[in-house]
Amino acid sequence: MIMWIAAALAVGLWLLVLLVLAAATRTPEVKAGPATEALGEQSPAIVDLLTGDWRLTNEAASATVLDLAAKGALAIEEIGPELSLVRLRRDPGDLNAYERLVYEHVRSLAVDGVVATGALAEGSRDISRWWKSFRKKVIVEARAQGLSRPRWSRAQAALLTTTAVAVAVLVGITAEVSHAAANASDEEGSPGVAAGFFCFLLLAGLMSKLNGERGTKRGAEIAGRWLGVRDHLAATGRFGEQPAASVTIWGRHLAYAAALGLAPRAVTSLPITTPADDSRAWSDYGGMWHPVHVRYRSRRFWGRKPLTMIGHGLLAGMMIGVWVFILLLVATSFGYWPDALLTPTPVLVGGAIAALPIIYTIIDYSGNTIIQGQIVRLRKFGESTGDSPSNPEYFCAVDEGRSREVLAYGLPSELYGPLNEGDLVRAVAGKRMGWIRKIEVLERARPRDTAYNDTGEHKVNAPEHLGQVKIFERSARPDAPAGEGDVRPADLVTPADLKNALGIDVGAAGPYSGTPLAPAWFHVNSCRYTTGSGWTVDVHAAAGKRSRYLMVLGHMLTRAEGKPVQGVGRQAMLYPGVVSATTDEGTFAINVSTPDGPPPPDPLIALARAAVTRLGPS
Amino acid sequence: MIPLIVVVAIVAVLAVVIVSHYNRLVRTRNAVDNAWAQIDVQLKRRYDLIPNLVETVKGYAAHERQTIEAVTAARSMAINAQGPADRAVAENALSGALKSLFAVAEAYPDLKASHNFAELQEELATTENRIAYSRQYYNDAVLTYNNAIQTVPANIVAGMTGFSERVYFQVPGEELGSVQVRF
Repeated sequence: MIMWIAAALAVGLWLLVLLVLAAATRTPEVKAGPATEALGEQSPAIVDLLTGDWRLTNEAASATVLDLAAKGALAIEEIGPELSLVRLRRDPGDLNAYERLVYEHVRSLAVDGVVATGALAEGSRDISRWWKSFRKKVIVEARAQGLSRPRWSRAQAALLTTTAVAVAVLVGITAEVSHAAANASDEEGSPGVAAGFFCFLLLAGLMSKLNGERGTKRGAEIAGRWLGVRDHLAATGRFGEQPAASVTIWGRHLAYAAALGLAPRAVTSLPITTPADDSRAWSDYGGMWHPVHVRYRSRRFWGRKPLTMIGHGLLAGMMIGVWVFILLLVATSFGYWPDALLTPTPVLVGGAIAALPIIYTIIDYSGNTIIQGQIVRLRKFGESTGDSPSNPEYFCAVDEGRSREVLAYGLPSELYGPLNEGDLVRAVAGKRMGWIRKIEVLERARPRDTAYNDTGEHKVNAPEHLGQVKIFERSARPDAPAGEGDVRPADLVTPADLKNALGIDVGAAGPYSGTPLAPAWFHVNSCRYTTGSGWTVDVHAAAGKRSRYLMVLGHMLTRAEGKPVQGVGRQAMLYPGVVSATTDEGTFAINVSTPDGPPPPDPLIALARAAVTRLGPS
Repeated sequence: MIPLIVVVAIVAVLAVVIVSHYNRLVRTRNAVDNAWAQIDVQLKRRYDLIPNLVETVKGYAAHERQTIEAVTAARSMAINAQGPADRAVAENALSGALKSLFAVAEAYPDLKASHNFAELQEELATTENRIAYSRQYYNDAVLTYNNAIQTVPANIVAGMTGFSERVYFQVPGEELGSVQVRF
């Protein structure tokens, strides 16, 4: 009992320390200053952070677009109530890291220097990653200006962690001792470890929950001044109904109004941090951005594999036939239905139901319907969540340039995998079942979102998981003889392969000088090819089961979601500029960097195929 | 009594349907008018740029009178054109005349090097791009409107209330599908 009281006291003491530290590290009180029209030197994104209790909102990115427009780097033009354009104007010169991120996103989407405002949500970027990167960059800037700080200093975090460990240990020992005293002969389990572990998790979680960005004294003063600006703009600006294009008239005031939450219409029309809508897409097929409505037909057979639907049809026909037979049997027994039709009727009804998908399939396969155009939507629905089985359906909508309304067709996963939004394709599909049987990529999408580095220093400054921590350089010489079970990367990818696949001339492989993102236990051999025009091809390879670590290298380098590639080794994954594949012998990853961003997927897959054949059986 | 109620109910339902369709038609027609007004704004912007351009070219290539006069005449014709069809023809003629003017400019290095000329050239290209987008926007609005007045049952309401089909603003010949001017 005494030990439990001591443990409770320890927990209480720890909570007290936490509360004292939390109170001591609060953001100083922000007092709104007098209403003023004088704008300060902070950017709208910083203002959004300061006036949002040091939490960045989605308005920050839209306000940054408006600010770039006000500064002349972009122009926003209204063509109609539902169509506005963002036009690249001139070299923006020196921009903050987050302004550059926003500018590069606009630039990567622009066709002939123009992108529709609605299309800012397009592209297959990982919006969560993009937003984290943006937020991080804004916070770095705010900290550099002395306006913001993390709540816990290193010393405070160390103090709280070590004391939490001590408290957890005490709780664990108490639980163990109590358990031993109560059940001396019972040897089942060790509640002390579990109690200590959960106690630590609880305390650490509490500590983490209270952590976050906090304002400095100067930050609070500046925030107060900006609240004064907000009062002035709210009273005089009438910014609520201003469209984004009115930045031409209002200049930076509109950008700050957006950051201060006073210009919802302008913010909504610049959906830079909004995920692209499933049903409303923006297409640049034909050279001009235009909206396209994507319809996912809700018809029973639409977008589903014909053979599966035939099976379902037969099953449904049989089941309904049985039920009809039972109903008619009852009806016959009461004399409501003639005996002679008792069997033929259910057979007819069931047969009609079963025949429908068969007839549709025959119609679809008897003629080829060609769809040619640009992919505007690729969607996967019905992904597994938790323990529920996974049975996803894949849809692809192609803008053929004929109509503003396009149908999304179903397709198998192996065809879906290598496709990207923006690819020009020719597909063979059935118009009855809405099923794509064959699809050929005529031209790969121009890199809409990967032509720029949307992580920047984010990756270095804020590792999100332990696997991302840099360990040390262990690059083998590319010409060193391979040891037993070892793989030489220069043997997997040769200069001739690079010439064939990418059309670049490289010399012999050189040593890899970078620091691979790999844990200490992982042994990897690497080499590097370079060209005079700025291309770099890094090849990493390793043998054995542990080598499969290289399969996630692409994700760690690009932070993008990989796409599986069928028919290359046992398994292959494709990322922007990175392809990795594994066989029974080992695994390799090829990382291609160019001055113009990642190369298209096809050459990477070709390189991977060649490397797989040399690596060994899969 | 019951037949009267039925008749009144039918009339009321019909009235609601007619008013609903009429309002929708008005909204789509207004969208077309608005889109046309946007084109008008952009075209006027182009007309305003042309005199400056002509003056600049005259300063360096005064004896290219024929080309300059062709541009001026095409501009006047475009300004006086009425309706989408005539406008489209006149705009096409103006675009052709401008192309000739810029082709002439190639022969005058001093003119090409002129900052003023370069700015006007860029401004004109931007305006052409805006016109292209406005045209696309207008044609989309016309498509929606024409579909609305031709489909059942809205076509009955459209016929009764005088909604007529609108003409697309189409660019004749080779410029179909092209969105920007490259000089």
